[in-house]
Amino acid sequence: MQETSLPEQDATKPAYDWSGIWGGVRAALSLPGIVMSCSFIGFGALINSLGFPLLAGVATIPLIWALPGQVLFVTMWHSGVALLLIAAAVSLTAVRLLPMVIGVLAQVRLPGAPRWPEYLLSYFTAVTIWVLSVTHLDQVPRQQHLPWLVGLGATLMTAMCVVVPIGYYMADLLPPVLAACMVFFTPAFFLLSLIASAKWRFDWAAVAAGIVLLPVARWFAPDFDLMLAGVGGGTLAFMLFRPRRKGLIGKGQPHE
Amino acid sequence: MNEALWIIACMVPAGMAVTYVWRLLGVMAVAHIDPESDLLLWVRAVSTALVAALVMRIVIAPSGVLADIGLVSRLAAIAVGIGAFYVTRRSTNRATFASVGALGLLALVLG
Repeated sequence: MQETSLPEQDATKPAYDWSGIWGGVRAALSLPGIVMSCSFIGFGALINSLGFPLLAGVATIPLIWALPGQVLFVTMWHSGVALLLIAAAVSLTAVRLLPMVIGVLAQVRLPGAPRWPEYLLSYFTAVTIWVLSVTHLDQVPRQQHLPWLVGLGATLMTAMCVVVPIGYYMADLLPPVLAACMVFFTPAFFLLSLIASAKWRFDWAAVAAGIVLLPVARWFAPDFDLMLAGVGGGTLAFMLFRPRRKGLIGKGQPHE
Repeated sequence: MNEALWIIACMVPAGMAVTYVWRLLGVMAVAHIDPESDLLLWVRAVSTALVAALVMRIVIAPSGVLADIGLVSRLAAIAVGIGAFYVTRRSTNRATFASVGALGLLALVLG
C-alpha cells in the first residue's frame, strides 16, 4: 500500500522501536489485566457449566480473541444452533473490531514504516487493548506505541490460556455462589464496557434496545433471539438516533 | 478429545475466519476509510445491541451455576453495577467488581 503524503523526504525511514514490547508486557499485569483475568476465569467456569470441552474452550482464545464472540460461540454451540448461524452471530459481534482496529492503528502506526506490524497488532486488538491504547499510551514514545501494544496483547493472550483452565477447574471446587459470581464477571464487564464506550445517542439506544428486545425475541423465536434483538434493536436504534453532527470515532472516554 | 477437535475444526471457519476478516479490513482501510460512514455507524449500533442482548440472555436465561441464583438477584446485581459505574466516576473495573460482589451478597440474602 502506497503512502501518498510524505511532506518531507526523510533520509531515515520511520521504524518501530521494538524495545517498547517490554513496557506492554509489564502493563499487562496492571488492573485491567486483573479484571480481564476475572472475566476469563468466569469464561472457564461458563464452559464448565455448559459441558463444553476445556481444550476447545481454550482454543477460542488464540482463534477468536474477543470475549463476546467466544461466549457467543460456546453458548450457541451448546444450544445446538446451526453452524452458519453461529458464524453469522460471531461475525456480527466482531464487526466492532473494524472501527476499533482503525481507531487503535490511527494512534500508533508510523506512516511509511513496513505494514506487517499493523497486521500483527490487529490480531491482538480487542476491547481491553483499545481501552488501554486510549488511556496508557501518553507516557510511551511514539515509535514504541505499536510494539508496546503487541507486547501487551501477546502477554494477555498467553496469560488467558492459563487462566481459563484455572476457572474451569475452580468452578467445581468453589461453593456454588462463588462459582456463580465468577460466571457473572463476563456479563457485568460487557455491559459496563458498552456503557463506558457509548458516545453517540444511538449507542445508548442500542444498549437499551438489545436489553429490552431480547426477552421479547426469546418469547417469539427462541432460536433467533440474539440475532433478532441484535440486528433489529441495533437497526432501530440507529434509525431513530442517527447522528447529524460528526465527532471522532474511537475516542469514547472509558476511564481507567 | 475427539469432540474437542471436531469443535475446533468448526471454529476455524465459523469463529476465527469470520472474526479476523474484520481486523484485516481495518488494517487495509486505515489509510483510506472514513470511520464515520453511515455503514460503519450502523454496524457499531448492531454489534452494541448484540452484545447487550447477549448480556441479557446470560442474565435472564443462564445455564449451570448461575441458574441457581434467583432472577431478582441477577437483575439487581446488574443495576448495582450500573449505579456503581456512576458513583465511582465511570470506573469500569470497580463497577464490575461491585456488580459481582452485589450478586454474591444478594444470593446469600435472597437466594
